[in-house]
Order: sequence, then structure tokens, then C-alpha cells
Amino acid sequence: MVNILLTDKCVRQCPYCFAGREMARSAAGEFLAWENVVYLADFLQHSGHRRVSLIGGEPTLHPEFADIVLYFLARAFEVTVFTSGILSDARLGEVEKYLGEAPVNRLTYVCNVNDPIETPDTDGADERLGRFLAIAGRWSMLGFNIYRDDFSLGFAFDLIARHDLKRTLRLGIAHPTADGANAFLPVDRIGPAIARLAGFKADFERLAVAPSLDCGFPLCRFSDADLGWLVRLGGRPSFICRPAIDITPDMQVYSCFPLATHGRASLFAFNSLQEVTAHFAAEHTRIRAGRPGIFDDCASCESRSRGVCAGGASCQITLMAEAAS
Amino acid sequence: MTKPVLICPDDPSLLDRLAGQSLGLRVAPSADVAATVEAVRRQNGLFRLLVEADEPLAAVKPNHAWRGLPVDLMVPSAGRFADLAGRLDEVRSLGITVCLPIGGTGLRDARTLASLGIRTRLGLDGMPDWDALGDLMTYALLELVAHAPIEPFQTIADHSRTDARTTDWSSALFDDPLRFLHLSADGRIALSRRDLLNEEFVGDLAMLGSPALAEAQQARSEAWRQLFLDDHPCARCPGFRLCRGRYAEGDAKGAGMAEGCAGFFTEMAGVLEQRWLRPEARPW
Repeated sequence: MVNILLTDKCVRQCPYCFAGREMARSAAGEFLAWENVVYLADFLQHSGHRRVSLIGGEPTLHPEFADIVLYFLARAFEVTVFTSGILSDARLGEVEKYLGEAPVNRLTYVCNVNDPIETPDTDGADERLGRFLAIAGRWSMLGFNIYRDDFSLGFAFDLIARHDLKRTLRLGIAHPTADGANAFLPVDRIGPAIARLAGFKADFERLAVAPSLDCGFPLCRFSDADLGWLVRLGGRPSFICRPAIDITPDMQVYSCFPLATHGRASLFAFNSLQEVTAHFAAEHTRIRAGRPGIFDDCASCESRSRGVCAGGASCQITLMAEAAS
Repeated sequence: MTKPVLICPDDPSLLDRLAGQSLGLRVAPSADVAATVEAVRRQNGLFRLLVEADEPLAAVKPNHAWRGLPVDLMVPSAGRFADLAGRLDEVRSLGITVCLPIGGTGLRDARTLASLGIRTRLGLDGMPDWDALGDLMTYALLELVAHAPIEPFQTIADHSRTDARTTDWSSALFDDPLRFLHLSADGRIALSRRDLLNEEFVGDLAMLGSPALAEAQQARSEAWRQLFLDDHPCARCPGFRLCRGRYAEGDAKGAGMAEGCAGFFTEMAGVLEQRWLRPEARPW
């Protein structure tokens, strides 16, 4: 996956935000320049890669958001937009006008939503989200970040049913940033959170929604029954933590938000995506040299040695190592 | 000397006087191209149609009569990409060359269109942003990902090793006085597009084929020699073999652009060498 930050500005203040520290770093509210959009398309195509994720901040804040999506589509890329779904009227109008004919199989919005009880609506955000999903629902799936083990998903299933969204729910563990200042799911709460997730099996099955797991879930905290359920619903679970490759508006590149300070470099220093990935894979190896996984028994784990499970996320390991030292 | 192409407006009274010539016709986007081309081809050779639009490419309604014809569509910009995106296939299928100005969003638009397989040509009137032009030139000549040619870079690159005379900007911009003459609607002859716009004429149609006109063309073509006689800074510039003093006036007027153009053309000479080495790695 390659994540392109169109801007570091955002419209929300999620308690678990992994990007807050990174966004605070560049206070200028920078937007990715059009010339770099073309450069990135060439760079990725040259690397044999035809999938991009457009992220932020809030990517739809970029004044040329629709243009950028259309450009990548015109270059035969598959495009995923990670958005809050909270758009101004003008931008929503552009989405409807310009992206209303986009191919459903090549454009996806992952609408990251929060539990409205935990993060109450401000400034009509819920209403704006509803308007976005009413227009872009065909292209949209929901994403939810787990930062506590007593979360609810009922509101998400309601949105999926109401707007007839894509039948996938992307689930991520809220990982700690380098300073651990965000709300994140501590290692000892991952097991209970997975158990909580399994408690929503009936809802997933009722709406035929596939649970899609983002990076950092440890295999050992799933029962065989849970794994079977995930696969049966089309979830294709993966327990690996690889460099995601995030590219900033000023063309810096790092592994992912929580590891933004590890091996950060200019994209122009690389000739291909393969070189970038190798650079950050070496960073991950270095991070794991002292501690192979988030649990003590990761060191002797068969699944980890066979490469089936990474032993949790590298950013969690970093935070644990820093806490220990 | 071979017969030059006459770049002229689509004016019936003028065209009647140009039998037997090779023509580059300047027409409006709404012109009845099919009828014009048929009439021209009865008694002339058609070099290119130069369609002069005053709207962005995104707003120009493509004329399907352009298909299969050598068309240069001259626009002030590409316009907003979102407005253009739905028309890309249509523009590509017409096989036209989109001509863009060097100012405004011209350089950015050229790169965008080229990356999407649409041939472009830059009109290099005026002083460009040399750094931005250098970036575009490097992209045009060294980018490994397939893209459409950007003129004048492509023509210069194609001829840089085989034909020393055409390694300057003029031929790719229809501005080489030995190969192109520019006519006003009333049949007066200029040696360049700039001369035409400035109404600096060397004569009229009666001069076509005359020794006097040939002499004027030759003199203009070799005007660069004067720079050596004057010991002009351009004559000592490593990029001279590509520009032939095209921007010498800017230098003489102290416009402060000489350093920019020298850097650009010197860089381009290096890029042309690098292009022939076929680098495996990306250049930036």
C-alpha cells in the first residue's frame, strides 16, 4: 500500500489520531502540489504499482481533490480515499459532479467513523457524513479504529444498512504515536478487544459485512473459531506489519504515521517503490532486533518464525522498548 | 533552397493566390475544416491545421473533422483537470497536438497532458521560468514511464545527433525562416511569428521564390553569426548550439534572464547526452 497525504489539515480531532503529531510538525497547512501528483503517478507506475491511497489530514480539503482522484484514475490506478466524510457543501458538490461516474471497482472511499456516543457530534458533522454517504455510498466502506476494548459497532452497521455501503468494515487497532500521547489500545487490551469484536458476529453475518483487519492484530489472540468466521465472511485476515509507505505533501516518506521519525527520507532519494520498501523494511528489522514482538512469548512463537504473524505492530514494539529503557 | 511552408490564415481570397504552395492554415475551432481542407488539397499541400482557440482545452468542443488531419490546437491552458478528464479519450483519439503557452499553467498542463498520452507543443514566446522549463525538459527527455512527446524538446532530441542545423528551437516551432514563412491576411510576408505579430514584413506574395526573399531568409537564418562578431556573451555559452542566441535580446536589454537561459540550454545539452546513454535509473 502507498499512502499519499494530500494535506496535513484535518476537520476532526479524533482522540486516537496517529497523525496529530505529524500534522503539528508542519503547521503550514501544506497541500500536495500538482507537479508531484504527476511525479508520484510516474514513480509508482515505473515501480509496477497501480494502487494508491489518498489520505490526510482530510484529503478532501485539498482544493484539487477531485482533479487528483480523476488523474490517478485516468492513469489506470485503483484509488482509495481515506476520509471522514465531512465535506463542505462546495466539495461535496464536486464529488457528486466530477466523481459520480467513477468506476466503483477502481475508486473506494474508506469513511473513518467514530462512535457518536464516544465522540459526540460537533458542527453538524454527523449530518454532513450522512450527506456524503447518500451521494458516495456506492463507492464507500466504513473504517473504525479501536482504541478501547468496550467499543460499539452498532452505529456502523446502521450506516452500512441505511446507505447501502460496500459490505466491508475496515478495522484498525489504534496504535501509539512515537510519544504515545494519543489514545491507543494497550497491548494487554488487544485480547479483550478481539473478544469484543467477535461479539458482533451476528451483525456482520446479518448484513454480510466482511471484517477487514488492518495491520498489527496478533494471530495468537484469535481463536480458531474466530479465524474461521473471519475467513468465511471474506475478511482475508493478515497478521503482518509491513511498511505502509506514507508520502507527505512535501514529498517526505516514512513507514507509517506512528513510525514517522524512523528512517524518514525524501522520496526523491529513491528510484523505485521497491527501494523505498526495502529501506523501511530494514527499519522494521532494526526495531524488532531487540524485541521480536509485543508479547513475551513472541520470541519463541512458531507463527512468527514462519512469517504468518509479525508479533504485533512495530510501533507498539518501539513504544515498549522506549518505555523499558 | 526548398520551398518554405506558408503559415497563413484561412482566408479564401488569400488561399486563391497560393496555388502550388505547402500551407499551414490558421483556423478557428468552429471552422468548416472538412471543406477548407478539401479546397486546399485541390491545389496545395497541407502541412498542418493550426486551430486557434481562446478557451481552455477543457472548454473546446473537439471537432471530429480533425480526426486524421495534422492538427495543432492552440489553447491558453488545459483548464481544470476535472473538467477535462471526461474528454481525454476523445482528445487522444483525434490525434491532435495541443499547443500551450509557456506562461500561466502551460508547463504544468504540458506535463499532465503528455503523461496521459496527449502530444503537446510549447509556444516559447516570451521569457519562461527557466527552472520550471528545465524540469519539464528533463521529464520530456528522460522520464522512463511512457508519455507523449512534448515539443520542441522531442524534435530537438530526435535530430540532435543526426542533423546539426535543426538542433535549435525554431524548426519545432514553425519559426525557422528557411522552412516557414508567416503570411498576414493581406498577403504580406514575415520571417517569424514574432515578426508577424509585430507587423515586421519583408515583402508580399510577389516576392515568393525571388532571390531577394531567399536572401532575407538566409540572412535571418544566419543572424546568430553576428553574435560572434559582436563578442556577445551568447557566443561563449555552452548551450549555444541549441538556442542559437534566441534569447540574446533579453541579455542585451539586461532583462536578467541570460543566466537562466544559459543554465537551461547547457543543462539540456547534458540531458541530450544522457538520453543517448539510456540510463537505467530514474534521473531524479
